[in-house]
Amino acid sequence: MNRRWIRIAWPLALLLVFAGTFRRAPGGRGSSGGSGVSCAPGRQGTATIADLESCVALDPIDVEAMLSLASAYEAAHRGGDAEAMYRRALTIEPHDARAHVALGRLLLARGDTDEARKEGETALRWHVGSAAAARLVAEARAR
Amino acid sequence: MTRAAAAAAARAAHAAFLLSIAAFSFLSYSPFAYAQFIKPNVVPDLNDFVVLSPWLFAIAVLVTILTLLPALRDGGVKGSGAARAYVAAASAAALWALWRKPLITIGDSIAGLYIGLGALAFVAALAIVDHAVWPAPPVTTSDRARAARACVLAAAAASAAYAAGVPFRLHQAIGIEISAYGFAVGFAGALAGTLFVFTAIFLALIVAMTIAEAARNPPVVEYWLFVALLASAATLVFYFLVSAAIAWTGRGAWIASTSLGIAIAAAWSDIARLRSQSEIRNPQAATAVDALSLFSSPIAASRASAVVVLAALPFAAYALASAVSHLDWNFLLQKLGVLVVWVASLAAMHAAAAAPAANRPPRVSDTMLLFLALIALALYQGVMRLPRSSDALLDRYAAVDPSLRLIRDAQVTGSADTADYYAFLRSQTLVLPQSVHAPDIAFVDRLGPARVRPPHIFLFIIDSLRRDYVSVYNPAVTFTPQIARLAADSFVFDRAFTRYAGTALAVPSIWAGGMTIHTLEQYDFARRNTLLKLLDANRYVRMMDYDHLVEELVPHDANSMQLDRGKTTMEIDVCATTVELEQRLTERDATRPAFFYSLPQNVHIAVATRLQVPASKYPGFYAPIAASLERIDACLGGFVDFLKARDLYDDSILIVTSDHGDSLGEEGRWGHAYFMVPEVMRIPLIIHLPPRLRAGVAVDLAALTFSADIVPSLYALLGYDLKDLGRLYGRPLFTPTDADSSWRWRDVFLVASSYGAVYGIVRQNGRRLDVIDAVGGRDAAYDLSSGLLGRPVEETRAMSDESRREVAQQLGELAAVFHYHADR
Repeated sequence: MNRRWIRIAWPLALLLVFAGTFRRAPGGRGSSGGSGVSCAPGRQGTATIADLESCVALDPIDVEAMLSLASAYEAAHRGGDAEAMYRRALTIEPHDARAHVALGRLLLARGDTDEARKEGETALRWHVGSAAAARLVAEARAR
Repeated sequence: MTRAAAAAAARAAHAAFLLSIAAFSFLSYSPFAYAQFIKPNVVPDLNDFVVLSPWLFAIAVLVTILTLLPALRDGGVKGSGAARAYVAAASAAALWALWRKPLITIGDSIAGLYIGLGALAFVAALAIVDHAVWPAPPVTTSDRARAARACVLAAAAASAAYAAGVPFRLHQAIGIEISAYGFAVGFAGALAGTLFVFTAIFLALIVAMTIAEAARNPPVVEYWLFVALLASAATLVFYFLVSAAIAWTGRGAWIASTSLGIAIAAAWSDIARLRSQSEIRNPQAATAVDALSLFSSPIAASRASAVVVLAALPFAAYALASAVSHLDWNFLLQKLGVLVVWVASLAAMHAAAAAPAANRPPRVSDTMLLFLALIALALYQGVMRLPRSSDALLDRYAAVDPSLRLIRDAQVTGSADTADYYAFLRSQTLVLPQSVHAPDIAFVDRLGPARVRPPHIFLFIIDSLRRDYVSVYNPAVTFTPQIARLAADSFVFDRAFTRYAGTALAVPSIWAGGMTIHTLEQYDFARRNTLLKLLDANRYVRMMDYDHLVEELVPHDANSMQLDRGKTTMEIDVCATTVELEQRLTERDATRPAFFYSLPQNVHIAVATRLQVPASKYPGFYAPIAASLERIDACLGGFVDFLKARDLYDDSILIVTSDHGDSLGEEGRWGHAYFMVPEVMRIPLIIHLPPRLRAGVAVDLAALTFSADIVPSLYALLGYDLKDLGRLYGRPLFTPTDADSSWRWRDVFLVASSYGAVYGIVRQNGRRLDVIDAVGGRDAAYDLSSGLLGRPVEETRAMSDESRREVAQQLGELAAVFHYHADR
């Protein structure tokens, strides 16, 4: 009798083991990662330059972080870094009118009116009727 | 052919026919399947089946009577009473079916469940009759070693059969490349997975064999335990694979699945009994049939037939997958095909593994069998622990090997928190209409006539039109010149998405101008039909198609003028519709503005694939879709010319978009089903405005937009000041020139499948799509910034957590709007 129970028990137990192990490889939700900095767009306004640089490093296509970082560079009178960051954002989003206008403003402040006007015109092509872009073009033409 | 063999063939046909009747009836009873497949007439051939079914049933009964004639003639024959009772009941049912034609009038009612159960009862009853009429063959206990050999060899044969088709399926799929190394890893994974499954089957068989040893007649009990195993397995397959795929759960689904399982097992044992009759007549072989051989006999009763089945296996594997791939629903039919191939492979290998009595191998011990099972387990575990790069190779191989796809999709996923999260998603999905209180949604308080003269509005929502099949989005397209001509004079939105990956909710979301609670029946939709409110407030005449969805969203009234009357949804064709529209516009009351809506089906995969178009005509594109689109394009161009000729063009808003895109072979996917992938979520959106409405508005063409933004945009264009209803609703695409549209670039937006618990987040201005799939049990992320369709990427745990939080939060907001509580 005991022998019969063993003969039933082992395939049954193994069947349960099979059912229990029939699962996908762990880690399907991606690797752990993150710098501890919140890179959510809404929280980027209060972040420091170092935080924003971390965000850009963490997600190299995060245009919002790039624009926030460029703006922070501008505020810190780091015009070269700001321009580079705006241009980097535009390589990812070539039609982002906000980046074109912001870059145009930077160029206009530097006295590069032709380039500023071109940025404004590009912005107007994608953000048709935008008052900010139209103002940039008008100011660049007026100078 | 002997009488028993002829009867076996007749029983197979009888069972196949009645199982089809039952399947159709159960699909009708399932609200989801009825709404998605049967009501819109997605498969027109089903109509023929429904019409012919009473006659086919009558023929089936007549053939059955012929096969039972000896028992019917002679009352003294064993089982004659059962045979006569069966024939009387079946004949009465056939006459009733000819009189009432029940499948035609079945609708979405409880009758579907009853008719399905009735059809299956005849299958089981005939099996009982045959078991009474035909004598049982002498049976011996099964040989464990032979069963073990059969399982191992069947796993190898089934894996090889699917592997043989991989090069051909690779040729048909888009976006998959597999190197020789990738093929080797994929095949090894498929083999290990299949071996794991067949070893589990073997373990179940030897449990049955061991239990039977305690019985008074072990071989007979063993055989019937195998039949019971088949019934149980079929029940589980129908409930967890088929019913789950059509969102049918609960008691009704269990009853239907169990009945199908029992009917299949009954038909199987019936055919086995009939095929065993040749063994009975052959006294020499009479003692040679073991229980597992008898059980396998419906597929292969001898080594010769086994060889034929095994030789045909690769062709059957390829044909079963290819025949249904374009019309499949979340790979369901392909997976059922895999199960058929597996069963055939196992039965044939068992017949082929028979050793002549003279050199029968020695019995194997339990220790040896345990050792073999552990090897299978170890192999499987080894494959499951492959590094992530190899796991990606397995994913790619699974896209072209349906058997590996079935194994991977069946695997249980993840941790307890993931299980809880998926349960939460399911609780928010396909909710019962009675658990929802529809809110009154209004973009404008006290809606009155517009400040500006209302223009005509023409809304073309081309079902399943992909963005990358339109030349303004993809320069490689040469077959949409007329849409390009319209686009040159219109606004072309670069980042347009649908909120829903399926028509059932995408269309209501467009009419509502926002997201809706996840339910298939949009009760009280008038309270939130913001488009209809706008049209009525401005005395629009609605010249429109009433497809099966809009029929429930928009009333027929004095303001409506139905186009394409008498056509089913799947028959709506742009060209015919625009011809009728032009006539109606010519005859219209010129004092009232016209509104047009249509959901043409020309490029829907169930319609377009009926065309035979040489692939060489549209290189790089799926030819039937491209050809259909070329025809649509010409008709749209003709309609634009009509508007221009009648001086209506410059007084019209003309919108060309789609409800969602479609998969056309990407990674083996076809159609949309539960797929939340770039080619389904991204849509074209082209809006032509009258010059008088263009002045004074700004529009950000590169910003993220949704089809749900169309209606609020119409409000804005007509001069209304809109309330901002929040991120779950649409917002105007056309704004004052100094308005801030940067939120479109920054915010994260909820998207959903129309048919199951699959949700996603679109973020970073549509450059990223994160998907949480509680149906398939896996998450995914796509980078849409590169190429036309983007690419899958691995997301960090932080981003995945962020997406899950966002989905939960926005679903919570949606539930609050609709006063929905999951536990109610």
